[in-house]
Amino acid sequence: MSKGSFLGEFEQVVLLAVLRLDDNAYGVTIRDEIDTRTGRDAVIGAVYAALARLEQKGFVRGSVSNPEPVRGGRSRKLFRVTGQGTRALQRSMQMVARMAEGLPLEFPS
Amino acid sequence: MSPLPPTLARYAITHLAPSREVDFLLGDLDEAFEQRLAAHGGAAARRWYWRQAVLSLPTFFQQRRHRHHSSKEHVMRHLWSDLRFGLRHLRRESLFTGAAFVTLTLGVGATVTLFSVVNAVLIQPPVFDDPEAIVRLYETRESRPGVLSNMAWPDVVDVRDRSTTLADVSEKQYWAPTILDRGDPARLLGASVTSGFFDILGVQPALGRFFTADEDELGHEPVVVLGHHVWVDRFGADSTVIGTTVNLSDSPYTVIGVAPAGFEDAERQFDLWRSRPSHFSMDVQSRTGHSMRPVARIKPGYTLDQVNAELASISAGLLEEYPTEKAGDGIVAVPLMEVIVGSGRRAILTLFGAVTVLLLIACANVANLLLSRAAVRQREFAVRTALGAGPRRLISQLLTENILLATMGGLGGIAFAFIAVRLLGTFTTGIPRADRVQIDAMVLLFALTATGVVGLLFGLMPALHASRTDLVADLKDGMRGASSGVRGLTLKNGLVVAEIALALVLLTSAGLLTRSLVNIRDIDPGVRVDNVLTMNVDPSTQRYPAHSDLTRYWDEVVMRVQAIPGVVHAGAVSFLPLSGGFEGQGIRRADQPPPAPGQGLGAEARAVTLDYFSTLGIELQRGRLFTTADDSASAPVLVINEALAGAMFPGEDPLGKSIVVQRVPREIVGIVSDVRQFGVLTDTRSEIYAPHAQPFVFWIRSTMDLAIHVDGDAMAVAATVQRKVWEIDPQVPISEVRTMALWAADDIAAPRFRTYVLGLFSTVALTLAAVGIAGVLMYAVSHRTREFGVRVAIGAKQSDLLALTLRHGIKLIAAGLALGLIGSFVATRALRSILFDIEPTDPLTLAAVTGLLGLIAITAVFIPALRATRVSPLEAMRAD
Repeated sequence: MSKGSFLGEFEQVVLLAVLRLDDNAYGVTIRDEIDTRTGRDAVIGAVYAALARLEQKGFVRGSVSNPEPVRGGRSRKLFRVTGQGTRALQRSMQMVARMAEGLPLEFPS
Repeated sequence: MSPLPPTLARYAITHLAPSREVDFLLGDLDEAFEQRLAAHGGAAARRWYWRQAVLSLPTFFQQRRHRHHSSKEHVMRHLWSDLRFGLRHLRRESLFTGAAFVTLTLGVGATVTLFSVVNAVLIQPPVFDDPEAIVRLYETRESRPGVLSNMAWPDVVDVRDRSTTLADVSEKQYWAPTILDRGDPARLLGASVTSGFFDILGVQPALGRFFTADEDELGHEPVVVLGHHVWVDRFGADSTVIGTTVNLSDSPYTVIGVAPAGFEDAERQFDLWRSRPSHFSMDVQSRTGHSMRPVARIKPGYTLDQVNAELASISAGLLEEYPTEKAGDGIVAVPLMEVIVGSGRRAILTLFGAVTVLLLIACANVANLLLSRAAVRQREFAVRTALGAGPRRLISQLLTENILLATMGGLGGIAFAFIAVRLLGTFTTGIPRADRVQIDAMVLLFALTATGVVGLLFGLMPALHASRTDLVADLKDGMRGASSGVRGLTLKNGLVVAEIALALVLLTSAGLLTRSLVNIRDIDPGVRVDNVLTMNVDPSTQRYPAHSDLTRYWDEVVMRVQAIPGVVHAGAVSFLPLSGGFEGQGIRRADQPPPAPGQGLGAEARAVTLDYFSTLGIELQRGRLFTTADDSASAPVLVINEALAGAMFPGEDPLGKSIVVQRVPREIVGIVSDVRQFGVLTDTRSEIYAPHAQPFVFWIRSTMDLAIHVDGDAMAVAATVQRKVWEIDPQVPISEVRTMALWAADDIAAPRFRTYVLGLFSTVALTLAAVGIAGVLMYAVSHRTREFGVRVAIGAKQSDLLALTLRHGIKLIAAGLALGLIGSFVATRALRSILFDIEPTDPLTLAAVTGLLGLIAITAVFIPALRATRVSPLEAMRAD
């Protein structure tokens, strides 16, 4: 397995957020989702950087939405997780699980 | 009105975030800002926004670097394609490339040429060790301020004994021995020095050794050190020469060493040196003698000012001890480098000014060319950007092209400099050290640096300009590119006006200097210059010990030479005019009491044979010239010049009165016209002439300069004359066989050099300015093509278009000339000190030069103007 197919910790979190947000995953929503669920107050630049890396690795796909139907409306770049990305996530979580097996650690819920 | 996100933070993000994401990122931030504004209020929202902006900065930079890293393998490929593309483009745009190449070649070439001269004359250190500490000592005279004379030997000894600031002082006295073996009889130029001489200058012998202290003692074995070139030329670079004996002026000397190559002394390149001679003649030992040219080294830790202060006090002490002899005299030290280089400095500085102006013009031209090109290529860049090229790519492309251009220009400039330096050789006689001017490693390094700087400067400027392309605007409409072109046109217009102004300043300077040179050439030196052959003949006093022997010898020489067919007159004189030699004597009127010490008059004294005056065309004003009746048995007589007559006998008739020279009263029998003995640019001095048969007893000098007035080419009889002289005595050396015309040319070498160089530069400047204005107008025409097409379509004639373009051009030229005239008024003031007999604001010169530049500029404008007339409306419409 090549190095490029591993996930960094933050990338993992971002990827999960994108999964959660379904059709509505873009910069602000991803950032807020992470903040709400983990308390990690990520900076928008970092989120974008992670998304760029994920896109480069092929784990997410970005698409530009149609502009909002209001005056001066903007278009957003929406992200979806690819099949590759899903597999990478699974691999990553499996790796953690295997390493943690038998250790007196508990996965908090 | 809802508050907006902080402008500065937004601005920072706009310019620093990766370009692909910028819009989305800003949009996201705005959306989040709105949310927080509604939930927590404006202040909290702004704070949040700032935090997001600032903390995102590191990731922005990281992303930029990351992207750069990943494209490293593409860089090499890009470089190669940049080069290929650049070359192809330059070849296609041959007009532009040609113009830029010519401009750069001339600009860089001129600068490199100047630098090679500066390097040789001013920068390159001499062979000495620590040259700053070496000084030359001179005697000053209160009655002649600013004039530096040689010192008397006893004074030099006293300075050496009494000085605490000078480490050592060496005597140096001219010595001109004749050498008869190993080649033609010749007179060598040498010096007698004390043993410290070479140490003071800090040089090591190339072969053998230098003098030791015991060789300073009187009565020591005569030893000699050879100059390097003499060792090579006359002794065949034979390393076994050490210890051999050489016959100099009929005395044997042992060769003990050879000086290093390139060793130069302050006044001239000496052929050889000997240790202090075994006897000093009376005049050398006198305190009023002037034959010592001492050099000294300042002790470490002392300054020149301290040395001079001490010399002043030593001089004051000598005045107390010898009030009559030392009245009005002082001693001063001058740095040796100053003596060597001094006169060259002014010529160099003139050059410097000229080259700076030239470079400015060249830069303006190149800037113009590049701006034009950048504007024209804006569309190309717009298309490429649309196809995905990043600005960095475009910049590197432009940069490569411009560096390519700069390199070509640089190489061309170096080639130009090679040629220029060679040509320069003919004009630099008389400029000290100018024979060392060459393109060496130092100069090449400078050339490369200059090229690099120019390349970068001109590479970056338009490249940055091009990177700010407004993509949509440029693609939309071909003429839109011209709107930035209109702004560009103003800049270009300005540059051309500046070029023309600068060219006018250069041309004015050249014009003034040329007229000055003509004026100088017209100065009558007071002697005949054409068709006169001269040479130095040196019968030594050892072979002709009595003065009557010498007189007989010279009479014989003159008689035989005059018998040569083609010779009109021949005469001999102790120092040829314009050759720089002189001998001063103190004089006073016989009918007046002796003046106070230090207050007496002096005159240049010469011994002459009978026909001397007619040979050199020196006119007799009143009285008579010498005849055969004026010999050693008859009363001593003198001929004086008009200047002395006016100075010593104002309002009286000098004829019949007497002047006392060396305690002997001599009657004035004739007055001749003035001769500018020291050069046409010097003042006339008082001169006295004595017949050769009646010498000045005190100082016997056997060598004389022979002057021969020839009917026809002077050099043609040179060989015959020498043969005749040697028929009388084959062991008399003859040297410096040259025409009087050459002496005269050397005399004005410095102003001639300046004039020619400035003339060269102004011609170049003229060319550049013409190219510049043609270029700008070409551009203007090409970007008004559509407009011209429209005009033609609605009925304009070809002549109208011609007039339009011409008018544009004439406006520029007129503005440039006006500005240039003002500039000339200011700049030529600096030339006042080197102009002869002409004002810096001379109207005739200004008018002529302005006319010339205007004419050439208008001619240059015609080419684009004609191009304008050939616009057809259909072509014009399709132009974009």
